[in-house]
Amino acid sequence: MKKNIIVLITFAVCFTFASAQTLDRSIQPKPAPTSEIQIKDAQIFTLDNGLKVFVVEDNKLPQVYFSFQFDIDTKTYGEKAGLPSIFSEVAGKATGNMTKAELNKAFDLIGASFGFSGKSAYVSGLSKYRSKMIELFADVLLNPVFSAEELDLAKTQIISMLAYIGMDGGQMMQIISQILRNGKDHPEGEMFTAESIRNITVDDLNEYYKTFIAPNKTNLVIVGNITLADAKAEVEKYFKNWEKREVPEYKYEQPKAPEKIRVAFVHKEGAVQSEINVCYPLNYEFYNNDWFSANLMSHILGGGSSGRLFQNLRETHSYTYGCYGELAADDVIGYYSASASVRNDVTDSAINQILFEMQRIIDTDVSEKDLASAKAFAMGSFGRSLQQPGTVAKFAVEIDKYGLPADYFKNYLKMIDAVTVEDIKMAAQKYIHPQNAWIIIVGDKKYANTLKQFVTDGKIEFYDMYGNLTDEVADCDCTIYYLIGIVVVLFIIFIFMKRSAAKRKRSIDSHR
Amino acid sequence: MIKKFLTVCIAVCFVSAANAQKINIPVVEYDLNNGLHVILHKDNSTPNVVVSLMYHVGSKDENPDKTGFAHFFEHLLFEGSENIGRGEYMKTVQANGGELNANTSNDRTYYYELMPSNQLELALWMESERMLHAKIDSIGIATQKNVVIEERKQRMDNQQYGSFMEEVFKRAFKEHHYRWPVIGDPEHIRNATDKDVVDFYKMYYVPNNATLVIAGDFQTDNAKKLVEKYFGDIPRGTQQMTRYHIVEKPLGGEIKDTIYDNVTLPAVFMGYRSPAYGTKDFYTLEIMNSILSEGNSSRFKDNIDNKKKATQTFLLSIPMENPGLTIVFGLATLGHEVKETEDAINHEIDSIINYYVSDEELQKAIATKETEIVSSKRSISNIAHTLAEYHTYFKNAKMINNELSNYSNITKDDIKRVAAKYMTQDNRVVLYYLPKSMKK
Repeated sequence: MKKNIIVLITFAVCFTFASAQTLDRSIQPKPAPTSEIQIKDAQIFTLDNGLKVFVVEDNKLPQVYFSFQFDIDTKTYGEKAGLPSIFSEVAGKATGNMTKAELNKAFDLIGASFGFSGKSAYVSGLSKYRSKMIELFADVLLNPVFSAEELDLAKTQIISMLAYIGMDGGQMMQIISQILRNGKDHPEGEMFTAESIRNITVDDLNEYYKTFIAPNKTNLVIVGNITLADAKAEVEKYFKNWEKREVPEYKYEQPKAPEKIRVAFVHKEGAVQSEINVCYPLNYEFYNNDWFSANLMSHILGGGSSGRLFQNLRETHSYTYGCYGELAADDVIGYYSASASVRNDVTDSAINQILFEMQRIIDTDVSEKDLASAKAFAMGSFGRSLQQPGTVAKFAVEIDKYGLPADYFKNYLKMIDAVTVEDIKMAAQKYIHPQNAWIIIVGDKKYANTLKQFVTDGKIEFYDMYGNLTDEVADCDCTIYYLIGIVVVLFIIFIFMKRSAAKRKRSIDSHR
Repeated sequence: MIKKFLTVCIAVCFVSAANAQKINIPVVEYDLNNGLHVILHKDNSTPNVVVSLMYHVGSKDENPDKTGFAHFFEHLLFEGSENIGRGEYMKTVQANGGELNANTSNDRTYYYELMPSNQLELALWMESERMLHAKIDSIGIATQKNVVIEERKQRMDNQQYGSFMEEVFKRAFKEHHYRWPVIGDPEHIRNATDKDVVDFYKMYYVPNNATLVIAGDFQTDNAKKLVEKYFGDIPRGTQQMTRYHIVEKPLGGEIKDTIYDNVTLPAVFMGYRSPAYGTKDFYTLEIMNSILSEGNSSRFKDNIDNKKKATQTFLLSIPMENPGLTIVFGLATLGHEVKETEDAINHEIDSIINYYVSDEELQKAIATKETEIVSSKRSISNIAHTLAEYHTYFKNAKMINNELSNYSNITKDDIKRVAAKYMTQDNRVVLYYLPKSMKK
């Protein structure tokens, strides 16, 4: 009884204390101790035909997906440019056993989705339909039928989409940047046109399939509500007899960044904003030696809403809704790119600020605070990526593909943490080149004249979105001639009408 | 006889239990004394947590002379607070490993932080600062006015067909505040005064008009304690919130119009006046939409896209708190008339009004919904958003665990009935988007 009273009193005291204490809101809360991040291991096995399979069991949701990743070297297709795109469009439409209608209906009845894109293909759905979906998809992958009718439909749709893109500033920018950065002779700079699409035949599709889709050049990733034993059984059942074959490899000379700034302008009728992209190709590969410092540097410069580009162009100058930079790794050729959609009349000012920020990160050490903040963000993003079970599979694939140590991703956070201010500066000097960049603008050519300041010879190159030079002249020149014309006319009026000096001046002023 | 019936019934129950792969999203809900509704969804599978706040205010609550305010205000709430300096709001979240953003619709405004779970307290502090005493100075107001105007250009003016929502809605609604776009009139935004900003904040940004969701890795007791610590002493709003209860009259006849714009391919947009989100008719329309346009074997895909009568088509009933619109879109094929696309769409819509769909089509639509419902539970941020909307609109966050039942009882009769009720010519706006060069 006595004990109880003491407890009660203590409780009452605590209670009074708690309610009397007012919260000091000016103190930013400290983080709780970090929870440890657990990274599961993927299970890996390989069939005799070379098909390598990565399995991650995750039972949070009753779902499963199978993703096939084809290791195909990029190459140029010349007069048949766009063949891989057409292939992705036509593949999966019909098989030797099922018509298009039968196939689509069978997938829709189980609510499963499937598709091809570039160098991969996938099927996904509810795990209760697992056997059905993999049976259907194996048929799609191993017994495809490419018909003239489907090819024709795919051509019509892609050519219509090209027309659509021709009026979309953002997409035009993507195409023109890729062409100018890499050059038209490089596979990454080769853009298809309506004409090259029309040249593609059913034979080309069959040939593409036979040449490039092979088990020994495919990784199969299986993720979701499935055990390793079940995954093995399904894969053996459907893909054991898929025949291995030799797949050709291609190498190209690396594209080079311009020796000094080049300004390229693509005119878009009626543009209410200018799309800006400052970019150049880079030899930057996945998980190279300075992977962590380079990515942190790129984040400080142009990552998200706390990046310097966003803070400068949006929050300080309000030129744009957003400005971001990207240091992109690639197996063939990487690149750096900083881009924004800005209001027309600040096109040149916005470019100046982008170049300023690029130069600043080369010349000046970043603060410890900025670095700590970038590290925290990178660590947080890494933790968030683990919410997707596919991330663990991706780690396993990349360890295998790039020959990384088995514990590479388990040490990922430590490696982020080890980066120093000096490392950031070295990465900036190595990868940020504002003086060897393409400055590409898709916008109204009225604003082109203001861009001459960026090129020593004052030459602005005008292109169409396919990277062909056009013979347009910056309206600036015309504007100057036009203004001179007005002055001359006014002068003539002045001579002949013999108006008073004061009146003359007013009339010139009013024309400005 | 009775016995036999029971056996059948048990068999049926058993089949459906085995068939529907049910996912249970555990939810704890309660109100603070100041009226703030709190929803907790615990999932400790990875060390991540989402903190989000949904305010029940959107563009439909705006004064017709001050459109775009709810969204403009969303931008201003990143400016800072009494204890968070200007420009520090976004930086603080990212410097602590998180991501944040917000969005505004016609009906509500939503703010969220995705954080490592050891930063739960930081996120709660920041959202409470935003609710209690956001600080917005005239530099911030001037800057965000320009930013929002650029956002409008980027999203609407400089995108092909980017203005279609605005153009369809303004013709489909004459009275209801859905008639203007969320982003508002640039002129209204330019004219916004400091007082407008303060008034709006005081009226709508109060705990009794908000839903707080915490989803992810936390301990329930600790989360409740922290919520009380940061939100418990925020005073309840005392002002009467301005709400417009406008019931729009029937459209009373088809409205047809043409817009000449910077586009290459002609396109047709149709807007059918449709029931509110959460009604049986709304869900039935979604199933109808699925039969018409979802999946490779859908009617639009088969009979329109694959017959080269369109480059692309889609059909969507927009989930809105008040009766809204079902949008049909058809992008013409290069070198073909858009009339061809429109006729093909009309043909499909007529046939769904006049004939029953097949059992198989209904089965496909339900299977597609089931997959969608399961997939939508993948990320805690998606779950947090769904919980917040279900509470904001229906005061029932637990709906998240019964989503499939919204669809599973829908019959072929229901589909025919809603098609005939809503998908009629008299109930729609038809807009052509044509290249400027076609203007005579």
